[in-house]
Amino acid sequence: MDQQYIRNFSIIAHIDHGKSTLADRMLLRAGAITQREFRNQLLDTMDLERERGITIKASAVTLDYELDGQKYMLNMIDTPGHVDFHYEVSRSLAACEGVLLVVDSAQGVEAQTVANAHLATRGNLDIVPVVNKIDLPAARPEDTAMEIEKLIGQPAEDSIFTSAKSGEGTDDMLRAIVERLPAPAGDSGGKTKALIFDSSFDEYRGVVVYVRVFDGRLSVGDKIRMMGTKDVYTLSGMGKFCPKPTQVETMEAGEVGYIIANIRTVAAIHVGDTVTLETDQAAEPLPGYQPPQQMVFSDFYPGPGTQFPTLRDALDKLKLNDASLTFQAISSDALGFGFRCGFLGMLHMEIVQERLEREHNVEVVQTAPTVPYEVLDTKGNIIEVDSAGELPDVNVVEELREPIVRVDLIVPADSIGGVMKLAEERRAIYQETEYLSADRVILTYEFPLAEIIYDFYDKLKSATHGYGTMDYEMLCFRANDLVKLDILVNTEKVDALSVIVHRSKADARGRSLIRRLRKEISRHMFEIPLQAAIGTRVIARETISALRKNVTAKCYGGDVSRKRKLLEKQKAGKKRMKMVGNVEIPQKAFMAVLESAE
Amino acid sequence: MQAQSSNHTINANAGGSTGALYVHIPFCRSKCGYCDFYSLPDRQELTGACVRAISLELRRHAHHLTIPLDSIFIGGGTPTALELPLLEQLLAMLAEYRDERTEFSIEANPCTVTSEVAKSLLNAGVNRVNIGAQSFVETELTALGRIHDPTEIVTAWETLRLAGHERLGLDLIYAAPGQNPDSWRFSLDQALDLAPDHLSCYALTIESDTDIGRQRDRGKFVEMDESDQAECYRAAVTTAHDAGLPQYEISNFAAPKNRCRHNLTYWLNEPYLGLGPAAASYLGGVRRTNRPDVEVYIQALDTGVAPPCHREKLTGRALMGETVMLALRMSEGINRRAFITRFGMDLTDAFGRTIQRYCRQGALQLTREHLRIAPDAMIVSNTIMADLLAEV
Repeated sequence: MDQQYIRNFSIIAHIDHGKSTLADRMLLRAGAITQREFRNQLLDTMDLERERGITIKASAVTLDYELDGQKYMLNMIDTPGHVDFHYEVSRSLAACEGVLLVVDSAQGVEAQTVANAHLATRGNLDIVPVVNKIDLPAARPEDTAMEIEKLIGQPAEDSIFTSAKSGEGTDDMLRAIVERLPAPAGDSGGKTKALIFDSSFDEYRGVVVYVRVFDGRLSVGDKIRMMGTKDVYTLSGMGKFCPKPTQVETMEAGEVGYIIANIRTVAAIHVGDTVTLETDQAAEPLPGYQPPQQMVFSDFYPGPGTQFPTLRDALDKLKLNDASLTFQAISSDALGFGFRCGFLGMLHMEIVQERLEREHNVEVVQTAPTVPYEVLDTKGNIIEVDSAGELPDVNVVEELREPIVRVDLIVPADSIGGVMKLAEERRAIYQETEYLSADRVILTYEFPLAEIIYDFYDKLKSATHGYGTMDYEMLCFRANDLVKLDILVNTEKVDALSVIVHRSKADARGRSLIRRLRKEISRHMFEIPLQAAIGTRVIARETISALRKNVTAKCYGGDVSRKRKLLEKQKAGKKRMKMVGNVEIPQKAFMAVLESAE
Repeated sequence: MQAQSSNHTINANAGGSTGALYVHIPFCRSKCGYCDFYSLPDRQELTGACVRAISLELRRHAHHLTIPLDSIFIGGGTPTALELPLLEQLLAMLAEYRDERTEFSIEANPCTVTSEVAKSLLNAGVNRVNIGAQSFVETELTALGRIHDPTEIVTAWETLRLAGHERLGLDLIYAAPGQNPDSWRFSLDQALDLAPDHLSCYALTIESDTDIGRQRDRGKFVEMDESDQAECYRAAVTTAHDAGLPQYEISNFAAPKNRCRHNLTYWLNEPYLGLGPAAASYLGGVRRTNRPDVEVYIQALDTGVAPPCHREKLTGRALMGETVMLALRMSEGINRRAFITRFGMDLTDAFGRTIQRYCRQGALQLTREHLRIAPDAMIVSNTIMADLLAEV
C-alpha cells in the first residue's frame, strides 16, 4: 500500500486509564472484531497481565479503515505500561509517527502520562490528546484537557473526548488518526531497514519478531541480518495481526508486522536492533539502539521443596520469552547454590518470581533486590558489581558509584511538604517544580535508584493520600560515600544479607535491620546473636532468646488428628526458608534488608 | 516391653482388629475450667440411655475385638461419677471381654471414690485406677475449677488401697493459674509421697473455648512464664525419676512394667476401638471420631444405625509423618526396624533432612535401633515434630 495511506501510532496512557478498551473499541468500529471478542481485551495475552491490569508484551495490530471513501491501513502498536519498561516503550514509539495520549478524565494527568508524553515529544511524534472515561460521574474533561495543554502545549480544544465504555468519540478518534497524524515517509526503494520493537515466543513457530519497516522491503525467503547482534537468519514467514494472524509475503516501507525466522530464544533478539538484508546491507542502523539494561538484581535460591536444576530449567524456560531477564549461577557461603537474576525493575522482578511459582511450580527464596554499582579501583579500572558480596576489598576501592535516576513525582499541591520530606530522607536532590494546575504539581528530583526500588512508592502513596504517581529514568552513575554493611547471624556472616548503604545512614540502618531480623527469625532451641558490622566494627547487636517450651502435653486416641494439624500449622508459611548454619531464616527476613530505618 | 510393642506395630494396618478398647463417659459432676473434652456436667437424666447406647455400639463393633482384650480404658468426663448401679452395669458388660492379663484402667475424680465404688471396680477386674489429683494446693485447685480439695485426694487414695487396688496412678497439672515452680514442687512431692506406680504431669494447655481460656483472654491471670514452665517440666522429670518413676513419654512417668499399655497403643500408632460420644477409633487405617453429641449418639444407636462420625484416612507419607510424630513422644523413640517393616523405607530416607539437622544440634539421637528426641529437647519437641511433618 502507498505509504500516504498508512498510519502508525501508539496509544499511551497511565495504567487503568482505559487504553485496552479504547483499542478494542477501534477494532470493533473498524469491523476487525466482533462484539463478543470486544469483551476480551485482545491486546493482553497473558493471564498474569490481565490480573495485574497491565500489558507487558507489546504487539501490533493492523486494521483496515475506510474514511471518506479512501482505504487506510492503521497500525496500532502497543506499548508496555510500566516504568520498568522504559526502553521498550521508547522503541515501540520509535516505530510510530504519532500517538494517542489517553488520560482518564476522572484521574487527570499522572506520572506515567508525563513520562510517556516526554518520550513522544522527544521522539518528534505528533500527539492526539484523548480525554477518556467522560461517562464517569467524577469526570472533569475540560480540566483534564487543560492539564494536557499545560503538559504538551497543545490547545485544550484539540483534545478528543471519548468513552471507551460506551463507544462515544471513537469515530472522532479514528478520523484524527488519519487527518492529524503524519504518514510514514520512508524510502521504499532504498536499502532495507526495519526496526525491531518487540518479540514473543511461540511454541510452534519459535520467536515472533515485531518489526516496522522504515526503508526498502522484507520478503519471505530473504536472508536477513540483525545489525546489532550480527546474526543472520532466513525469513520463513511474516504476517500481521488483524487482529487474527494473517500471513503476507512482503512488507514494504511504512508497514508494521511480524517476521519468523527459526529463532529459538527471544534472548537472541534485541529490541531496538535493525533488520537489513544480508545481500544488500544498509550502511547505518536505525538510531537509538541500547542493549537491555538490568537495574535491579536479586539472588534466587531454590526453596526447601525445589532442587537447583529445577530452578535452572524454570529460569531457562522463562528466558525463552523474556529477553530482559538475565541470570547466572552463583554460590553463597550461607545459602548454597542459586542464581543472580537481573531485572529491568521491581515490577519485572515480581512478575518473574510469580511466574516461577505459578507456571513452573518452583519455590524460590530470594534475597533483597539491589541495584548495580560501579567501582573505580586504585588501578583506574571500572568494575560493575551487582551485589554487596561482590565488592572488592575496601583498600582497592577508589570510588564507589551508585545509579542515579531522574524521578518525576506528580502529587497534589497540598502534599508537597510531605513529599519533599520523604525525598530528603531518601537522599534526593531537588531539580524543579512545575504546576500542572492550581492543585497538581510535577516535582522533579534526582534520586539514588537504591532509595526508591523498594517501598518508596508505598510511602509516596501514603504521603499523598493515594494520589501521588511516579516515573523514573536512568541518568548516570555517581560517586558517593557508600559502605558495606554486613550481617552476622549466630556469628556467621550471611553474605546474602549484606547491603551497600550511605555512610551517614549506616548506623541507623544497621540497628533497624537487626531489629527487623529479630522479629522475622523465630526462636530456635538455642540463643541466636544478631550483629550488624562495618568491616570488623560491630555497630548493632540483638539476641533472639532460646525457645524454652513448645510441647504438646496430651496426645491420646482422640487427639491425634487435631494435634497433627496444629503441628502442621506451626510449619505453614515457613516453606520459603533457608538454613544458615542451624538457623532457619525466612524469606521475609531477606527482604527486611530493604526497609528504611524507622 | 518396648521391643514387644514395637513388633506389634507391624500388624497396625493388617485390618480392622484390635485388642485395645476405649470407652468415653461424657458426664461429670462439674466442668473444670480448663477442660475441652466432651463432657456434660448436668445431664444426669441421659446417663442410663448413654450406657445402653454404648452397649449397642459395642455390639456393632465386637467383631473387631480380639478377645481377651489387651487393654480397656474407661475415660471421660468422670466415669466414676455414674450412679453406682449404672457403673456396675457398664463394668459387667466390659468384663466379658477381659481376662486376668487384660490391663483394665479407669479414670476417677477424688471425690467420686467411695469404698463401694472401689470395691465394684475391683470386682469387675479393673486393675488400674488413675486419680485426677491435678494439684495439692487448694487455691490452684479452685483456680482450675476442681471440685475436690487436697485432703480428698489422700482420702480417695486410701480408700482404693484399702479396697485392695494395687496399681494406682495420679495426674498433675503444672503451669496452673497462680502456680509457681515452688508450689509445683510441693504438689509433686505430695503426689510422690503416696507412692503411685504411675504419674502423669501435664502442662496446662489453655484452649480459648474454655473458662480458663476466657479468663486469660480477659486478663484475669497471666500464663506462667515459659522458663518457669520449663523449670516445672524438668522438676517433674528429675523428681519422678528419683522416686523410681522414669519418664517414658512426654507427660508420663512409670517403671517399665507399670507403663500404661493402653496409651502406648496410641503412641505406637496401632489400632484401637473407641466407644461413646466423641470417642475416636483407629481401625483399618481409618480414624473415626463420633460426633460429640450425646443425644444424637443415643438416638442413632437406639434406631439401629451407626452414630454420625468424622472419618479420616491417612496413607503414604502423611501416615509416616503421623507415626513418627506419635512415637517420638516416647522416651525410647521410634524403632527403626519396625518403621522399615511398616513403610518399606528407613527413617533416615524418609526424613533425612530434619533428622540430620537436629542430630547435629543434639536434639535428636539416632542409634542403629532407634530415633529418639534427646531428653533435654523433649520440652521443645513440637519444633522438631513440625519440621518432620513439613518434610512429608
